[in-house]
Amino acid sequence: MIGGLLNRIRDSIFRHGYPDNERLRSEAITDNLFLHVHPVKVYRETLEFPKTLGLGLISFYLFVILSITGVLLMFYYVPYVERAYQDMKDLQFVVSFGVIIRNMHRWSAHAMIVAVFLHMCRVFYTASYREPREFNWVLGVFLLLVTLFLSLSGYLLPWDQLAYWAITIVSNLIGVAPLIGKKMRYMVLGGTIVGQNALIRFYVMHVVVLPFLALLLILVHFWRIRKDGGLARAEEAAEAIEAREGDPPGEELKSYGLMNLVEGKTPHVGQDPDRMVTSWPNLLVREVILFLFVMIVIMAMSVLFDAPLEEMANSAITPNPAKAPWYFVGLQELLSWGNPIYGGILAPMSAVLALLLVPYLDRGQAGTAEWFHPARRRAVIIFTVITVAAIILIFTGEFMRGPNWHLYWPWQKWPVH
Amino acid sequence: MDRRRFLTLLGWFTSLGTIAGISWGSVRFMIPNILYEPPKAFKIGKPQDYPEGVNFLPEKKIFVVRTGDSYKVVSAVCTHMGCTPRWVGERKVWECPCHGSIFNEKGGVVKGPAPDPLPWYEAKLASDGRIFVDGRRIVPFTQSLVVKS
Repeated sequence: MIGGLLNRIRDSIFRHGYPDNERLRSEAITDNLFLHVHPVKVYRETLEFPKTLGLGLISFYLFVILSITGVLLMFYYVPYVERAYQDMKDLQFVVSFGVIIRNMHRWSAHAMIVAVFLHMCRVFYTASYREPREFNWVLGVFLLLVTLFLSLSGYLLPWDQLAYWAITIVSNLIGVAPLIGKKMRYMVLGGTIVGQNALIRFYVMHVVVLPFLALLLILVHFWRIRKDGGLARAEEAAEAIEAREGDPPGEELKSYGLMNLVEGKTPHVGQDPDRMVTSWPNLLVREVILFLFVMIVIMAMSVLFDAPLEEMANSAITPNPAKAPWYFVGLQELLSWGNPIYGGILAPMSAVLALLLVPYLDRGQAGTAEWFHPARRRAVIIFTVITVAAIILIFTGEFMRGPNWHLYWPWQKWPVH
Repeated sequence: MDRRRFLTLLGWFTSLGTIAGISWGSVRFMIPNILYEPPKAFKIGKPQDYPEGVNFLPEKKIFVVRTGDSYKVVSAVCTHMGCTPRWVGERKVWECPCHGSIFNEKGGVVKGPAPDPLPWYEAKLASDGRIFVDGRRIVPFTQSLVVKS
């Protein structure tokens, strides 16, 4: 009796039994709102870990962890100048597991910047941004920017010295933009100083506007991966080149798009079923393992290391040295060299512009979906030099700048005032 | 122009106009018309409250510089990125901790990325004997408030 009832309930939720054959495995994917973002089948080679290093998924998992811990933090945090810092102290010392939740949020935020950046490097070094995936690269660049702004807007919320002065520096960075800089700064801060207006603005951006934007971009990013025929593959690229150089007469290319109602050259289906495996369980198992791995790393970091919380924000005392968040400290380093228009505006703007144009400037065809293909030596060198330069700037600003922004070796002691 | 084309254009105009209007309004909404920030002009203590030399008033973000009977007020906000420079008496300079800008005792930039000198603010004696500082009025270094003690 009871067993029959339970079975009826289960059958009403899942429309089929345990997926142990190919047909049920495809149904398991297509019948499920959450799973059907996956293709029913994937190429075996795209599952190989070294192809992608799982970096896109890791970025997404960190976004998920950030969303959940972020919502939890919102239950205690009030974005009010008189209270914000007190709430942080409570989270740190009073709320059960508050310190772990906050640490997870903080370390995931840092990790997400690293993961998104490395994901971009992976896509560049494997030339996976080529036709038809150019625009997905562009979306990826926007996602990198949104990730940075998410992290930055969250940086102010603890309302401690670290937060206050980092945001003071960054907001003045906006102010140096020609013509509209001052107006932009006024709008971002909701005034002329980092005060209550700035706090509530950063809060709303951090918990509503930017996460929503990020989610939207992530969904389109994923959707396009599917529509572009999954991850880039060397073979697919070779076929595309062949097709461009002249189709053999009479041979039609199939398309997922409108199921043969229209002709299209995008994803080729049905040509190599033996090199594909069902997503259930092959892809899903890998996803779960990767998620557990990310969880374990973030959890371990959150148990071992506490997120920083300095003294309460004090507009009268600038800590010496005062630094922007590490991902913007490279910019701060550039800024300390002279005219802020170059360091603060032109350099980052041209970097973003160059990134956006990458897939449109690369006319090469060889080396798609292969790491560091020799035919792409020049592109690889240029990208590496710029990346390394950015890392050196960040390293110098973060580890080699002491009081009064003087240069010190990372192991050198700073003079005590 | 026939009626169909006219109505099409009108439709486009109305739709785009609505979107443009709402967008403009939304952007304008984000620019506050009133601020509850500390005032830029304010009274500080009486002249005799400030000893000879450079006095830092952290709440007001200014330095009061006294030389004998003459008083000057200079901004304590670095012109580069808004950090607070500190007075280093032995070298007679202000040093900014954020990017290493150095200002001489006249406020001029000696070193570092600061684009402009530290501004000197107008100081007057208010009727109650306290110093009135007007941060909206920048004065040359040579101008000072002289109060015979």
